[in-house]
Amino acid sequence: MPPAIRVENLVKEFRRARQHSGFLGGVRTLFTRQCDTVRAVDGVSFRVEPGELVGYIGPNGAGKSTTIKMMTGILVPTSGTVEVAGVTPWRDREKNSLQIGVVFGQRSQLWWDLPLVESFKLIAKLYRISEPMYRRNLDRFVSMLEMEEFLERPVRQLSLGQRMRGDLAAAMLYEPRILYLDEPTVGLDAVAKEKMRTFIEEMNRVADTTIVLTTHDLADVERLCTRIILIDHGRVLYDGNVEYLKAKYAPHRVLVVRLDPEAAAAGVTVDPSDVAGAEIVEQADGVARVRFESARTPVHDLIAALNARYAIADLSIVEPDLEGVVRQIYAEPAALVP
Amino acid sequence: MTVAVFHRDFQRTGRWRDLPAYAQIVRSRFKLVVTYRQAAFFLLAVVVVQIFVLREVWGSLYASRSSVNGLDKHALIVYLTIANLQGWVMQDPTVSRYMYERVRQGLVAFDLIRPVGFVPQMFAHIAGSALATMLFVVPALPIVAFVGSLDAPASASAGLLYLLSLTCAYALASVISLVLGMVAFWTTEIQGLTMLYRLVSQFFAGALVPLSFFPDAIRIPAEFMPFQSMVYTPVAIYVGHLREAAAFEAIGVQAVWVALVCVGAWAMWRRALFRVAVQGG
Repeated sequence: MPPAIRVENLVKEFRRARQHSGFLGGVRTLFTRQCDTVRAVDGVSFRVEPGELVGYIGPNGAGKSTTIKMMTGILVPTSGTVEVAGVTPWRDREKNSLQIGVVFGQRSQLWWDLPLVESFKLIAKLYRISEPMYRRNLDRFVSMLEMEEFLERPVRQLSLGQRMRGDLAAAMLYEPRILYLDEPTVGLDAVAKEKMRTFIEEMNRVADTTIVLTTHDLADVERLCTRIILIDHGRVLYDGNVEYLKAKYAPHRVLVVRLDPEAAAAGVTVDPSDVAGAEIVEQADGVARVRFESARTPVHDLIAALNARYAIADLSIVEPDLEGVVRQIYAEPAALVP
Repeated sequence: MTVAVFHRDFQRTGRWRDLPAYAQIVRSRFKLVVTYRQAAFFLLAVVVVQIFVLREVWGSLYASRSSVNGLDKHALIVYLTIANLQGWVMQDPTVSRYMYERVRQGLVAFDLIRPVGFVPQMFAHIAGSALATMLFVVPALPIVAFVGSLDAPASASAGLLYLLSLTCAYALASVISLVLGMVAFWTTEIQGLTMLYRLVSQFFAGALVPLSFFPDAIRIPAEFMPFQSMVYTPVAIYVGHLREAAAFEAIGVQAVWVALVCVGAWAMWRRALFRVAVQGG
């Protein structure tokens, strides 16, 4: 099976007129035509297989949206190749458009001043879907995304969460094979986020839609993606498994040891020599936080050793989260060896 | 919650398969204009005031004579009334403003990923907006006739030629509006340009003063501009100022302008597609 998306050595440069600063700077800008070339995307390559749900993440200005725009065909790259289900998006626009759906969290494809359902009707006509298919998908999405109550309301009166659900339904109404989600959960509350995630998951797992998701909310990625592509300064820093990234980059877990209150009151503390192969990072009020690498120090050994010496009230393990991993990578990208 | 695996069944093939899509855009745009009818009424009020002012000014200029350049006072007022009424429908800024806003907010991305062409979509917007405006024209006619003056066409053939000429004028105005909107792909900002266009086109189109009244220094350059084809030509045919051979010749000139502007728009669009910079992250 050919890949759903193939991106090779993709480069996009933008030219920006240089702005002069200061009082007369504005006037100078008006009369001089100096341009700076900015490489927003600098040699990105990856493949996405059919049915994958890939997280495409990176800090602001990393080149995520620019890549997405080139994959959708609305932006023509400076050089490099993009193929989406065998089609070069900006050359064969029509064929490409029938197989992709797009949600941009920052902007909406819905008609601002008309009832939500009007936008759905328009999309059904634009994408030439049959009346039964329209009915079936609309009914299904209305119940999945709980849109019944605001279907007839003008989009400008919808809350952000409602509008985003509308946008998601609009992008899936014609059953595209590939769905691009550019920050679909930005600014949403926890409940709305959860509805979006459940829907995205269903579209991927059950309807077998290939999905590329960009987000700043790494909880989205942890919940939905098995694979992530991490980019910064227009280059791919990491492409692979989420678990592997965590294991590689955040090998440490933390064992939180709560000593028996009586012992704690008596001034008992965990002695560093009792936790061989681990490190006590914090100890106060009878609670010790012990950091360890599970690959080197098996957790059961650690617990056995502590149990043998101390009266323990409670134990818990804190897993590393993607957030911390990514923060670390952005801080020192050179350290990352894929 | 269950989702069956999708069964894709895209319908319709052949040349007319996108017609329902355009029809839906026309319907939606129509609804939108009707939703914001107060804006349409406001524009209508501007037109009514303009016609009234023109009638007063020209009435006092005509006080001492019965005919200027072969147009009598009544024909002139009819000319100005129809020209301004027609200009109201034709100078519809809907599509250039729509394109400007879509580009400025980065929403043009969605128009570009549709399976139907961007330019035909824009024409559907124009059509929807024009249909809605027509809805306001009919009830406006008595008021317009009251502040200005309305009259039947000079003759039956003038009436028919007027319709032909009006169609050309309307096509020309629409394509120019599209071109103005396209400028936004390069500059992002077009409001100054559209304002300039409105002023210049109104003046050189003969919506304030019939072209035949201009001194040669303005009239001759105006003959080489597309604007007179938008207002002066059809209305001059209507009131019988352009007849027979002159009328046919003027319609021929209109057709040439439509063709030229279409070629220009097409060339511009091909470049615009590769110039697209969608705003925002």
